[in-house]
Amino acid sequence: MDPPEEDSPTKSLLMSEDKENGSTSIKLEDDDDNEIYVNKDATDFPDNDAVDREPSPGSSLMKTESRKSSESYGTFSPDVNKGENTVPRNLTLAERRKSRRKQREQFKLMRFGSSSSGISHFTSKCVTFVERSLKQAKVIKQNHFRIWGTSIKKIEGQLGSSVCTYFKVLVWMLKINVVCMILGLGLIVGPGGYMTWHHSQTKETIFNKDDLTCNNPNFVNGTGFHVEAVNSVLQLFTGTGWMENTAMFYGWYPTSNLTTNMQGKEKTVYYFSLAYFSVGCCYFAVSLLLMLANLSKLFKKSAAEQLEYKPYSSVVFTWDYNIADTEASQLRSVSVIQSLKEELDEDEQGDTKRSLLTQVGIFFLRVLTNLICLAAVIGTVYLYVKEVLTESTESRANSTDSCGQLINEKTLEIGLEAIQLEDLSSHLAAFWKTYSASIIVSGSNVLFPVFFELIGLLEMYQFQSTRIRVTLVRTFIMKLFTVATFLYLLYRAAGPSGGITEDWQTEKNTLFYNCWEDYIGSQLYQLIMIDFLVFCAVLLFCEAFRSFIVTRVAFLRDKIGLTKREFNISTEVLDLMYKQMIFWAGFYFAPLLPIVAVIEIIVIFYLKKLSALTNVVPPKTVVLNHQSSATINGLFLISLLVVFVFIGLVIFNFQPSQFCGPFRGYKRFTDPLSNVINHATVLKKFIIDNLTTTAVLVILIILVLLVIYYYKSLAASRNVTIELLKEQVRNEIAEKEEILHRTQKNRSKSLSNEKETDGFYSKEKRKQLKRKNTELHGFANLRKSDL
Amino acid sequence: MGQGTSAYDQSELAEFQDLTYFTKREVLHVHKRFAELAPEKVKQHGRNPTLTKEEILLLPELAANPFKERILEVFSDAGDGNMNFEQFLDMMSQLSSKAPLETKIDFAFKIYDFNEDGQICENDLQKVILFLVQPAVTGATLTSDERNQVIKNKSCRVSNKKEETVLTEKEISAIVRNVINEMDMDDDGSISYLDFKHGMSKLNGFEESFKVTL
Repeated sequence: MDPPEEDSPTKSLLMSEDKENGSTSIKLEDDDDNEIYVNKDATDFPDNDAVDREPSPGSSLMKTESRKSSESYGTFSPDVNKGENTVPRNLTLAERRKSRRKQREQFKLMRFGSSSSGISHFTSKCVTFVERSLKQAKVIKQNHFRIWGTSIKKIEGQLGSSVCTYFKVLVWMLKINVVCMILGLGLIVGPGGYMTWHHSQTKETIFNKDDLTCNNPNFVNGTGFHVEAVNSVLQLFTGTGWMENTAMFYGWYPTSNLTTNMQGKEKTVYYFSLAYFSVGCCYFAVSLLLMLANLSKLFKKSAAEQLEYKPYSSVVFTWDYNIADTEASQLRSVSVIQSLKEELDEDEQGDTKRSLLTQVGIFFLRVLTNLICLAAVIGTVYLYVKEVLTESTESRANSTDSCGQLINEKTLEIGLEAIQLEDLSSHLAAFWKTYSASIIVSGSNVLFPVFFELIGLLEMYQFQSTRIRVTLVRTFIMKLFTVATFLYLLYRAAGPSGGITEDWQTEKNTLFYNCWEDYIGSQLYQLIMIDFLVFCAVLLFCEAFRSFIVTRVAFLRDKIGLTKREFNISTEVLDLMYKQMIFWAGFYFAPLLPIVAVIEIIVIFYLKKLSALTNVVPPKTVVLNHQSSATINGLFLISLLVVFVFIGLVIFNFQPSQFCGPFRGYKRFTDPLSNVINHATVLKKFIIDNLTTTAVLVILIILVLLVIYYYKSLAASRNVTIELLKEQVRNEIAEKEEILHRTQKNRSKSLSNEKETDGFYSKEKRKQLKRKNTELHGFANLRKSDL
Repeated sequence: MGQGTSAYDQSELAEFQDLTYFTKREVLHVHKRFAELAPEKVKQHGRNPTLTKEEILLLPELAANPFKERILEVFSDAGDGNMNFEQFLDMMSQLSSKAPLETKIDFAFKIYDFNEDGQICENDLQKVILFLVQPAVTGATLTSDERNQVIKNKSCRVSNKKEETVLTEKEISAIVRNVINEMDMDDDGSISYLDFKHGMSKLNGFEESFKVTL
């Protein structure tokens, strides 16, 4: 419908050069309504120079192509000096408008003749309406709404695109958590709530958890309203006490299935236990799919970059035009200089720059520092594992059975009965007992990166980038390790109640927790809360306070050189990854956790945005930049795997609690699934039974490996093709040079002989040259999709 | 959407929308920013006033850019940096995030080609590097008063170490040589449009960084 130039932004030169013999021309009108024909034919370019330099603005200059066909460019003309007309000359807005108007009118005239008759007028109006609405749709589709788009643009303007990566990761995390939230709310919380209400209406008994007073020793000993109020608030953060009986945790959910009476027969419409189990699996599946989709998109881009690694050009030609702030541009400029210098240094120095002795010394130094790091991490882990676990077993051994039933201690508030909550020290002791694990974990998260940075400085790396990368890797491993240990701790603590044989059992009682899933859920919830509080504390003290004193106190600034805190993208992104890990771990045990996660992410975004705009300075060296989105995705995937392993172990090794949760009465978590399968029709049962045999699994694995191998070899072959084509391009260009050279020699000879012919070449020679040029451009204009 | 429409009516806005990569709302936004640069001129002429280069450079998004003058030269018809609203709109549209990669590569090439001979030669590259270095140099050579002023406003980290902000002649020529080695595919000693296009389309960071949003 539209004139072809306007539709496709990418038009290959081959297309435009199709009409080799004829001349494709565009009719333009300048202000005096003179019609000017502009020819695409290269050889009819007599007055190009003269016309191009017409000074009056707004008048139509002679240009060759329309706006959006930016890929076509002036063809090589053997007569003209090399270099001219090699760059596309796009039309200005005024010219485009004129040409559009002209084309539109012509088009209308063509299609509808004179618009005097009523019907044709009507149809022309219809057509324009349809045209316009299609265009609107296209425009709307192009403006995809970005979450927090304006905020990110503002931050980009002040701090540069690399800092933006952090906020983009936040947006992406938000998407994943919102999807999980919708899943959880719709499939678990909703039906669970309905069923509980329904049952309470019909007064059926479902096993409820024990009385409130039995659950929480604090309530027993608390005196006065204020103690209870404080307790309740504190319990919001620990996830114990009154929180345990809410929909937050696993234990609240009923086990029955939603049934309806259809024609007198009871038909189960909604298997709740099965739903809970499958949604738990879905969280992981969905997150995995979303991440893989994102990763595949990014990987393509970064793979192409790997092929042609251009360290210098990428620094010189990619100045960040987004920067809108003089100071940020100064900093960016400094970082450009530094990276260029570093590249130069890298090139100059070989590995043999350092003497053998220093190399050996450095090697030992690095071994030592790595051991120190490892020892530090393991030490902290051991410290809190030991403390928390021994303490819990101790107090469990001592605790009394205040309700005459099974031992009720679900949380680490055990042993508080023995403590009188009267003086400050006992308050602190109680506080520490409750929060110790989470505090140690969160604290180590904050302190270890600093520690690693110092060690990195100690290790005397040659290049800053390697040092930063090493620190990154260490921080990542540390965080992974911390979470893994915490999860392991939970696994062990819940173990005895979970029915695995351990040597933790005492003689008295094998059931330590009434509801061990609740215990895990509340511990994770507590960890999330404490982590968030630590995050806020860091923001407040390390960033806000520091910038406050730096701006006011001149002494620190000038003499000591203290500045505002640098926005260290890598550590921040790793922190996000850590948070997402504990979210994922908690989703199975606390169905309301996705809501908490979403709220927390939103709050983090606004806090960080505020901090980024006022209290923080962009980083000096940029390591995590746009290309590293794929790396970030990869890190998230690894953390997902770790959490998945944990949940898998829990599900398959532990026995569900008998008195709480949707799996009451089942021997294993997978029982609801097997029940449903067993009750299904014979055909389905047959299929499923056969599908899960080992043979099928092996075949599937082999298939997957074959597919991977196929794609790998495809990629390798394409690399080879790229090299060959590059070689070809070089040869063609060399040939072209040769021709130009010869023609110029001939031309000068002919001129000196005073033999002027109009149009130097014969028509056949012109065609030949044009064909050669077309081939050349064809190769050179190969798009990515062809490679 | 009501205030700024005195100069343009709906059909013209629709036309702008078709001719550029902007929506109507964005066109009005651009007009608003344009009008802020020289309010009297816009009031007088209304439709298509021509602003001088200095007035356009008051725009903060451009002022922070070391290539600002070159951008204006490339996008203005007359080649001296003065432009009217339509050219300004055109420029902002080509620099927006919706413009396709090829357009951006075109304009990047034109911006970096200082002598406009269709090739980025060594001189051009040297000028590019000097322009890149310039903000750091101006930062380092601020007087202490100016520096204090900057610090009061912002981030207290303007580098005052001279060696951080200086590239020696030797270094610059080494960098130029390396860039040409990397980008030049036809081995003629300078970067032609083809080379540049090929190189930039493979660089992921280019599309992200080559945009100006108002």
